[in-house]
Amino acid sequence: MTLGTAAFRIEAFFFAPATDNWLALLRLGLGSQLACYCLALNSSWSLFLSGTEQGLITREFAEVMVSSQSPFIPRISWLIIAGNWVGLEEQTSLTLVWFALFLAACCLVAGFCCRTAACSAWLLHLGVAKSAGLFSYGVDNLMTIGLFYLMLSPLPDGHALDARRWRRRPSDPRMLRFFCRVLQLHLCLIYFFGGLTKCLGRGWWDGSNIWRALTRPPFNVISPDIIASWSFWLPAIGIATWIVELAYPAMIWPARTRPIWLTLTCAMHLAIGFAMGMYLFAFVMIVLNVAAFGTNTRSAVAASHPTNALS
Amino acid sequence: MGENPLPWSGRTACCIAFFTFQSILLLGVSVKEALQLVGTPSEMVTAAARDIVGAKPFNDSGGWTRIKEVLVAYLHLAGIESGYSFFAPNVPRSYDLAFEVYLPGRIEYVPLSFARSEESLRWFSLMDYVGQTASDPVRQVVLKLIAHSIGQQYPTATRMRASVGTMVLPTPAEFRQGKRGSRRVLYAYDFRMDSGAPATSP
Repeated sequence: MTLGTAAFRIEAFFFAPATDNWLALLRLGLGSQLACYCLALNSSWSLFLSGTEQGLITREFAEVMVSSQSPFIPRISWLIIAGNWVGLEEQTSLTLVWFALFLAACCLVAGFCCRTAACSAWLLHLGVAKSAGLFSYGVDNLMTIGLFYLMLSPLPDGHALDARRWRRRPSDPRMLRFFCRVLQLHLCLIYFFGGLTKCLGRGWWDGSNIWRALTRPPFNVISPDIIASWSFWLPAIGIATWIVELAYPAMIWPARTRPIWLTLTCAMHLAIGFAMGMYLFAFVMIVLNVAAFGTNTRSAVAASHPTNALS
Repeated sequence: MGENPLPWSGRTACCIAFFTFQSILLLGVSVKEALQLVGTPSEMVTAAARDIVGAKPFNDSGGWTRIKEVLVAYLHLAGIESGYSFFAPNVPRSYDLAFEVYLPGRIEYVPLSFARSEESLRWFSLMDYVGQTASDPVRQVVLKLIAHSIGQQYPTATRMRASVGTMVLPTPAEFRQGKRGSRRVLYAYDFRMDSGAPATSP
C-alpha cells in the first residue's frame, strides 16, 4: 500500500460526508443528562461545593489536590473569587453557578446558542467535578468527555433552534464525520480497556463480582434474597459483561453485528442503571453509544464509495 | 520534488494531528492504568519514560514542569485523565463512616448516609477515597473536616470518635444459610472538640 493510498483511506474513513443526526442526539442527550445532573444534586449543591461551614468537607481541600497536578485545571473557586470582586457571597455565587449550568443544559436541549451553551456547560461542569473531586465518580468523567466532543463539534446541527431561527449554513459534513469518528474510537477504547481489566479479575469469571456489586452499598437496590436465589446466573452475567465490553471494538463496526452489539451494550447499561441505582451513569453511556453508533451517518454520497463498508 | 505525497488540506492535516495526539494520550493513560492493575510492569514503563524525558532538551526542569502542567490540564479538560477500569479487576470493598458524639451525660451514634440515590453514590465515592487512601494524615484531615461539619449540629459535644469500617459480605451460599454481612472497623480516630473545632486526641 502506497502512502497516497493509505492517506486516501484515512481521509475516506475520517472525512466522508455525514449527516448531523448523531450530533443532534448527542446535544439533546447531553443536555438532558446535564439537566438531570443539576436536579439530582440541587439539594446537596452547597454541601458538596461550599468552602465554608456549610460544606461537608471544604471545597478548598479538593482544589488543593487539583492544583498540585496543574494550576490550569478549572475549578469553581475562580468563579467564587470573581463573585467576591462584585460583592457576591459564596452561597450566592454557588447558586448562580447551578443556575448557569441548568440554563446551559436547557439551551442544549432546545438548541439555542448551541456553541455558547456547549462551552459553558463543559467548563462549568468540569469546574464542579474538579472542585467536588472527592465526591466524583465515573459519570463525571464521561460527561466531561461527551461535553468536550460536543463543544468541539460543528454546532449547531440542523435540528437545533439556532439552525431554524438564524438560518445558519449547514455544518461541514466532513467535520461531522470526523468528530463522530473520534467519539466512536474513544468509546471503543473505553470498552476495550474496561473489558480487558475486568477479565483479569477472577471475580468476573465466577460471578462473585456481580454478587458483590449488587449487594454492597450503595448499589444494593435489589434485595439480596432475590439475587441469592438466582445466584447460578451470576457467573454467566459476569462473563457476559466483560465479553460485551472487550469485543465491542470488533463487533460494533460491521453493519451486521452493530445493531446486536449496540443493543447488548445499551441493555447492559440499562441493567446497571436499574439494578444498581446508577441512573445518570447509565443514561450518559446510552447517550454516547446511541449518538456514536445508533444513527445512520452514511450519506447518499458516502454510500456510493466502495471503501465505505463501515458507516 | 516538492510534490506533497499526502493529498490532505491544511484543515484535514490538523484534524488528523489532533486525533493522533488525543489517541496517544488516551492509550497512554489506559495502558498505564491497566499495567498498574497487574503490578510491576507499570513501574518499569514509568522508569523508561522518565529516562526518555530526562534527556535534553526536556531536562530543563522549569520548562518541562510547565509543559507537564499544560499536558495534565489538557487531560482533565478532555476527561481523559483516568482510565476506564471501573470495578476492575475486582469490585472493591465498600466503606462507611460513623461518628460517636460525646455529649454531656450521653453518647450519640451518628451513622452518615444520604437518602437520594445520586447523593448516596457521591458520598460512597468519598468513602472509597477515605478507605483506600494510603496516606493516614490525609485520611485524618478528611475525617476532621467531616467531624467539623457534624460538630456544628452538636455545639455541646466534647469529643467525637470517627470510625471507618468495611462491610464483610457473605457469599451467595452463605447468605442462603442465613449469614449476613458484618461491619469491620478499619480505622478509628478520636477528635477533641475545642471551641467547636475538632482536634486530634493524642
